[in-house]
Amino acid sequence: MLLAELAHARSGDKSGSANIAVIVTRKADMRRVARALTPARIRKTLGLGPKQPVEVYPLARLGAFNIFLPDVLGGAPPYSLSYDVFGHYLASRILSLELK
Amino acid sequence: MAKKKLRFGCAGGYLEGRLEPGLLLARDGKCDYLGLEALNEASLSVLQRAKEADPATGYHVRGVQSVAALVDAMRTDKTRIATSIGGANPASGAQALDAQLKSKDKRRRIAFVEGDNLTDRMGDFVARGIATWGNGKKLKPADLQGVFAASAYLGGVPIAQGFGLGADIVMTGRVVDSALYLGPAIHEFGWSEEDIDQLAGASVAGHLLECAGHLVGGNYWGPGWTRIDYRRIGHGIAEVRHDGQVEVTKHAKASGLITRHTVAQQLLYEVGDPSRYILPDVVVNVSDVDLLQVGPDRVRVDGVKGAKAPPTFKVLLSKRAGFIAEGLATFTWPDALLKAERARDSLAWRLQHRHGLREFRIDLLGGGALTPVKNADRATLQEVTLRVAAADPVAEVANVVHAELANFYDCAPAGACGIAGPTAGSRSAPRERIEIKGCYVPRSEINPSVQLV
Repeated sequence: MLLAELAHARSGDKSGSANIAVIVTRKADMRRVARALTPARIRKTLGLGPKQPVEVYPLARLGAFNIFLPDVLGGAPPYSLSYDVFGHYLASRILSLELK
Repeated sequence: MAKKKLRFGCAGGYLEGRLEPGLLLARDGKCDYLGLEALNEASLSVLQRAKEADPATGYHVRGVQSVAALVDAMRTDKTRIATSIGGANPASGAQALDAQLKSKDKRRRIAFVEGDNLTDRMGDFVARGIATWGNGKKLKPADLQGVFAASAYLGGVPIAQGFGLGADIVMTGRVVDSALYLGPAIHEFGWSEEDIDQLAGASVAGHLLECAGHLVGGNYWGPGWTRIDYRRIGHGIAEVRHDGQVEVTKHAKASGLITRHTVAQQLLYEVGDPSRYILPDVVVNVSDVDLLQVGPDRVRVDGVKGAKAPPTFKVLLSKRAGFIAEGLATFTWPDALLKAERARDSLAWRLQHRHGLREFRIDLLGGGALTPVKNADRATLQEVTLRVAAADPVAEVANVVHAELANFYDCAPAGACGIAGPTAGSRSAPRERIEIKGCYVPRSEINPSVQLV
C-alpha cells in the first residue's frame, strides 16, 4: 500500500529549505503512518542523500506530520538552478512511500 | 463600542495573483479588513534595484492599481485594507495610490510604514558586532560583499499604529505576511505584547489567509479536490474574536472547499518546527491544534498557543550572484528517454569542457527529473523534455546554453523540438541570480515609523 491511500500532502519552500505537511485522511491511521515516516524511508522515497537532515514533527490532534528538510532546494528561488524551486513536487513524491 | 469579532478577507497573496476573488470579497464579503500581500523573498530586492535607478519608483505599480480596483468595488467605505505593495518605497507608493483614488473621487486616508529597509545600516550593525546568523555567529564585513538590499521583516504593530492614526489603507514594505491581518486585530482589540495567545491566534488566521487560493483548495490534492472549479476559486475569509479564537470560511459565490483537509495543508505550509513558528510579534505554537468542521465550508481552529516574541528581527540580505540562463528541448518516441539522455551527456560535456561552465544542471522532465522512471517504462515513454539551467558571474557565459540548445537541430539525436531559447524572437535573456540570506538584528535597532499621506 502507498501513503497516497491514507494521506495527502502539501510542500513549500523557505529560503532553500522545504517542508512537507502530510495529513492523514482518517486520524485512526496516525500510528501506521508514523511507523512509516522515518528519516531513512523519507530520504529513500524522495531520492535524497544520506547526509540530508530530515526532521519529522507529529501533530497528533491535527492528524498530521510536518517534515522539514533543511537546505534541500539548492538555495532560495532566485538562486536555485532547480526546475522546481519551490519544492512543490516533494508533496506528490512522498505519497509514493510504501507502507508495510 | 469595541468590536467582539473581526472579519478578514484575503485580496491577494502574491503580485501576479488573480484579483477577482479579492474584488468579490471587497464587493460583498462583509469584511472589516482586506489584506493584499505582494512581496516574496526576491521581489523586494528587485524593487530596491528599481528605486536605486529612479528614487520615485520601487513600489508595486500594479499593486496600486489593484488596491484602487478593490476600493472601487466596495459598496461601503467601512472596509479597510492592509497591503505590502509599498515594496522598497511605501512613501511613493502611498502617494501614487492617493493620487489614483482622488482621481476617481474616492476619499480614503492612507498611512505608510517605513523602517524595514536596512540596506544603509547593515555595515554599522556588522561593525558593532550585533548582526548574527541563525547559528549565533556574528556577520563579518566580508559577508556584506555584493549585498545590495537588506530588509527586516516587520510585524503587526506599525500596521496597527497606521489604523490608529485613522487610516483606511495602510501600506508597508517588508512585513511578515500574517502581519497584514494581525496588525488590524491589534488595533481593534487593543492587544498588548502580553496577550500572546491572542496574538498567536490572529497570526494563524493571517497565515491561513496569506496564500490566497491555498486555503480554499488551490494547490490541493486530497478529499474532494475534483469538486473544485478552478475558473472561479475563491480566497479565504477568517473571523477572529477578541479572545484570539479563529474560524475560517469562504464566500458562498466562490468555488473551493474549507475542510479539515484544506485548512490543515495551509496551516503547516512553509512551517518548520510547528511548536516554534517565529514571527516578529509572537512565537506561534500549532503543535496541539485541532481543526473542527463547525459548518459547511467553515472550520474552527482550536488550540493555538503563543510564546513571547524573540529579541531579534529577521533581516533578509540580497546578494548579487551572477546570472542564470535556461532552456528546454523535447525528444519523442521512439527512444525518447535514450535520446534525451544522449543529448544530456553531450550537452554536459560541452558546457563543462568547451565553455568552462562550472555550475549547471540538466533535468529530464518526464524522464525522471521529478519522479523516478521504472526500467520497464523506459521504452514506452512518448516524450521527454530536457531542461538546462546554467549559472555564471558573466551573463554572456551563462548564455551559451542557448547557443548549445540551438545546435540541437543538427548536433543531437533526432527530432529535438520546442527549443525555447533560440526560437526566432523568443530567445530569453539570462536572468540575474540573487542569493538570499537571513540574519538577525536586535529589536532595539529597528524602529518602524508610520505616517499619513
